[in-house]
Amino acid sequence: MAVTNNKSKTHSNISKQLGVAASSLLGTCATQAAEPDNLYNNWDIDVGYLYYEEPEYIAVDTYMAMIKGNLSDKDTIKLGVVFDTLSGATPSGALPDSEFVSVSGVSGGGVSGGGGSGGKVAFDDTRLAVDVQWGRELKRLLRTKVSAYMSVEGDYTAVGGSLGIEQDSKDKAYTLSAAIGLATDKVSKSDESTPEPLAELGNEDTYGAGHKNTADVMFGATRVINRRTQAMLNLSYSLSLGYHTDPYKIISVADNTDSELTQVTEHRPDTRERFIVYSKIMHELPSSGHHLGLSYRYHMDSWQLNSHTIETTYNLKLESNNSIEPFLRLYHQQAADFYTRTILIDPGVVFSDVTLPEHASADVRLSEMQSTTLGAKYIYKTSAKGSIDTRIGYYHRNYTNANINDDGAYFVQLDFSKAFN
Amino acid sequence: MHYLLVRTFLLVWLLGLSACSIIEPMTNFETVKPWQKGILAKEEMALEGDPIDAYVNDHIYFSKEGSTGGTSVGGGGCGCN
Repeated sequence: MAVTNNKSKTHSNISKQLGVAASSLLGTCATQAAEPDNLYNNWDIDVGYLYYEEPEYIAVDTYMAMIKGNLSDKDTIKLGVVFDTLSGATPSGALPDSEFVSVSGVSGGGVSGGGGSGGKVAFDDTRLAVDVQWGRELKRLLRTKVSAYMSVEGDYTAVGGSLGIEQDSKDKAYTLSAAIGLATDKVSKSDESTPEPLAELGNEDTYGAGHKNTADVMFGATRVINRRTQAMLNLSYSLSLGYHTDPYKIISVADNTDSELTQVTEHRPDTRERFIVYSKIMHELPSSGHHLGLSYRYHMDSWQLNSHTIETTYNLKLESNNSIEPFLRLYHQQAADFYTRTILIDPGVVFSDVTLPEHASADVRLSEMQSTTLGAKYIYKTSAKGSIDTRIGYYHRNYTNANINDDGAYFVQLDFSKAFN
Repeated sequence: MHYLLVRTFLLVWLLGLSACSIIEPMTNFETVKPWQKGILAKEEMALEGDPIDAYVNDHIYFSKEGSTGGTSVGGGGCGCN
């Protein structure tokens, strides 16, 4: 704090008093500074459950647990565990009336044999993810964060880590941060194979698992605007090299009436560069004491999958121990430059005469898309240090030039949190 | 028709006014002393948001959309469909 720089005894005493006063205002963190003896018993625990369902496609149950606390007066640790079970169907990429779909082995142990039909493939999977983050205060205004994570599914393994540094200004009006992250992903079907790219289904060769390596760099700044407003700005760059193809996705080869000749496996470029600008502002409205959050993200992509995302939350305190927080998210993305609904052919052409592009995918997630999420969160404070949160939302997506016009999902989330200190 | 135009004009004016009244105080820079940071330290004002909400959002949108990221580096990849 700026006032603590004064050297005289009088000023030192004043600064101590101000420090204690500020500590009481700043809550837990500052309280720790004033009461170092209590450091080792400060733990926050969050346990959550998510149910997500797309009525025509999948259902997901997710169980989450997070714990964070202090290891010493300079060290903090955060642990997270997530377990997912997924079942249902996923779009294959083929035309909706396709009769040839025979993708096999979609995700995990309980694979529905023979795939599906009508552009959908049945699947069943489980996933376990673990992450840990260690934070250390190097100097009074300088901190580092080191993290590692691992995620394992029947057909996908991701391992990664990050290193970050944060520097506060002397008056703590702003914080600058920089971070680097490295990750490696192993991708395959559940039998550890990947199909030959852009090969006719049923006649494709199979290869071993694909590998993808990703490096991310992020620079960030947070700024206190005034006593009711603070903001952040992050600039990120990401480079990934290797296998980006989804081994389960296929593309219909069809004429302009959607009369299907055959299907081929997809193939995506082996390099992807992304640049992301993310900004967020939080504000307490003076008149009502409600809290408004606004964020905007611009995503630029070497695949031309550029997107805009706007999110807002509005927290209204209903009574002393409960509040409600409606939220709205609007998203738009351009199609990837190799996205195609089908590989178009002239009527009567045989497959051996079809000229295939270098890269192609009919995955709707790479098509032009607009999505809207609308929902609300109800927060019930069980005590000053605990809460039960319920969050429900509806997520709708509209696609342009895709084999699906639109689809929707709803989700329900429960979260129990408790601080022990 | 005239009535509709007047109503539209009033609605736009009111929306504009309320937007200005919200945005204007958000852009007034001031020096904030440590003992004036009580509001900024509230849980509801945290820029990183609730960790469980953030995880759920990332997980859903990562699985269903073509773009991701912006708030952290690394992030858990998955073969989610």
